[in-house]
Amino acid sequence: MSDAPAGNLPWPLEVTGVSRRIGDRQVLDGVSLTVGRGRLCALVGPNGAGKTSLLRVVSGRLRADQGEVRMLGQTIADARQRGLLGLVPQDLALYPSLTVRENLEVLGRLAGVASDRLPERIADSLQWAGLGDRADHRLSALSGGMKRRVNLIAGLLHQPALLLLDEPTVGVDAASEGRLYALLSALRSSGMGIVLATHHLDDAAACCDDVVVMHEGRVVAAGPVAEVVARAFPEGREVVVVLADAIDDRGVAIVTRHAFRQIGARTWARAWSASLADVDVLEQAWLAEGVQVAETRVRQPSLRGAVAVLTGRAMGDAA
Amino acid sequence: MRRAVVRVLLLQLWRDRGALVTGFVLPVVVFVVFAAIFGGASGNTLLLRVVVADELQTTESRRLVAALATLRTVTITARVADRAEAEQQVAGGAADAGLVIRTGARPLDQLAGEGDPPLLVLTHPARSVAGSLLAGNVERLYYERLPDVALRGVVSLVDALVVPLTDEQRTEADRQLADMAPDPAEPDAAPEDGTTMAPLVAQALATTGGASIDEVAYYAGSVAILFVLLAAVHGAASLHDDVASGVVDRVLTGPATLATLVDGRAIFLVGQALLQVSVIFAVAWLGYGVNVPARLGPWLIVTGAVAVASAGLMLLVSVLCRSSQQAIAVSNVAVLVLSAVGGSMVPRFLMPQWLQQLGWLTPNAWAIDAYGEALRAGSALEGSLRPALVLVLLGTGAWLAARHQARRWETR
Repeated sequence: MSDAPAGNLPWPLEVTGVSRRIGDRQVLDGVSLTVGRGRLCALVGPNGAGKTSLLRVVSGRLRADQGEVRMLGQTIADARQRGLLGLVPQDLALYPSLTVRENLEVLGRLAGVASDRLPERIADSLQWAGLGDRADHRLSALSGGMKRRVNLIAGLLHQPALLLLDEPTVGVDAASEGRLYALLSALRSSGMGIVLATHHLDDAAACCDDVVVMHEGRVVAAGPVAEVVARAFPEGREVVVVLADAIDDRGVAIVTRHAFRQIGARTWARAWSASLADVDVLEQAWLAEGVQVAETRVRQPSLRGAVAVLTGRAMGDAA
Repeated sequence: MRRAVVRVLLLQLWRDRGALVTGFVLPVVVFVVFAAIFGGASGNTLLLRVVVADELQTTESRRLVAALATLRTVTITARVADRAEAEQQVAGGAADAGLVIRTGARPLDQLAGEGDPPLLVLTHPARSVAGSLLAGNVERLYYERLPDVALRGVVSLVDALVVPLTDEQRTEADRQLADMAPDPAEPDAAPEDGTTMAPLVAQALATTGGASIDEVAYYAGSVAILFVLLAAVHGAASLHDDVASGVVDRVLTGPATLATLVDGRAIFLVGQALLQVSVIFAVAWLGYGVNVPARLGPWLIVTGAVAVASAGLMLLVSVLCRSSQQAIAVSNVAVLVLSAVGGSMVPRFLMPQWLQQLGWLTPNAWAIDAYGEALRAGSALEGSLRPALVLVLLGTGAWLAARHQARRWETR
């Protein structure tokens, strides 16, 4: 997916043919991907696609039935011992009754940071995350965005080569989300490989270098964001129609007959390579069958649309 | 790394006032209550409320009732006419037991022959021990305070069963026994020394520092193990909180393992237990005179063993559960059952034999036994070493099993 690393340096993350079945469900099915140095890779897909399972395999919490995971050429066990991997879980993996500094001291020690180096690392991290004046505040007293930043830097104290993040922006406002992505961009610039599982496709499209689209345990597309979008929309553009009224099963049959997919309550979209005049013809045909179009837009395809096309289902709200 | 885990738990405990009160204040309060009940002046006596129905109304029966009224441990709450009234009083809870001196039964001075016993003790099923105590007291009073009546019974017994007496001998016996009877003008007066039967049974206290001190020491030990176990529940169950919050996911990306988190908790729980037990026994020493400093060595050994056992056991119960809530619920139930069976709530000698034997499967019984040996003046160190060793083995085994079980969570 990423460009091959310079010289013979190993990939920060190399996943090869990983499969895992849990019960009667194949949660991962031959997943392969690579993440390069200084690359921010978004792991996207609908719920149940296998994103979190893949992160759990990479972090060693879920055993793979088949396949291999290597970090900088090391096995997971060796990478753990050498502190190559950092994790920012979806939940706030912190202690609410402790102060920010106490949290970082405890988690830093457990991550293997030597106690004599820890105070400096903590001070630097807090400054970097804009939390220098909150060091001695209890975590429970911080805002949601600040807690998320503490959650992030707690995974960075041991300076890993690869950082895994699972939905790091859940429950934060837009400003805090922007600040978190700014921090991730800064980490990318330092050469760290970053894998980010997310449902926020617009942010992923704006901030990530690469995207891995997963569906039903498989990787259905992977590569730089623009390439993945182009693969989903070879025609180069997308038509979005907003219907005047909700439609019944007969109406759905009419719309889907023309390859539109539903992306909102009354909003449908599809890739479009024909002339725009043909859209008017289509509208008239639908009207004759009782389906009235209220609004038509032609837009450049988005990652959201691409993921929907690649996985065959809608992701989140209408574009 | 283990120190980091200990630090988290210490800070969390320090900032949780509820846990501090439950862990360090409540045990002292409960211990003081037990000590007041069992170690105070009333600890060796049980005051009985008795209803008396003297249906016979003879000189002898009145003497027996009068003798009963002189006992410090008995309060005659009512004197009623017959058995039916006495039964009502006992059944209604107005009296703990009842004494009926019956008509239509053998005379009081006849120990052989046909007929029902002259004295009937009434008890309530919920207070049956009161009946036993009253029966014992009445029998004692009969021989001690009515010796002439008792001897008349013995003479009739000898006459009937051993050697038939001649008329002359009978007359002489009647004369002598009549002389022993108190002056009819003072029928309630106690017989003079030398005219009563010497008691067959004497009672003495077998204690080291006095009865109340030993009872206080007993309850300090039993309360200590109960609350050490209870306080360990939350610290042990917090491992599940770390799993649920993602802390374990985060920690396992580095060199630490779940065994590190278990070990850190074990160290914390041992320290917490040492502190808790120290507080309880400090109160026992300063407030009730239990001489802990004189037996410091054995006490320290036993306290260390109790701490190891409680930490190991609670960690094992916790890791065998699936969530923090389940671990807390199961652990609390387990602690209460262990404490009930093991003697932390009721002394084990009051339990049926099979339950006493079952008690040896609990850490409470071993801990109470160990403290009893450790604090008994003059006892050899070896006496407390055996139960302490059992506790250490129990705790260490449970801790190793908890480590093993926890590591199975690392990778699914």
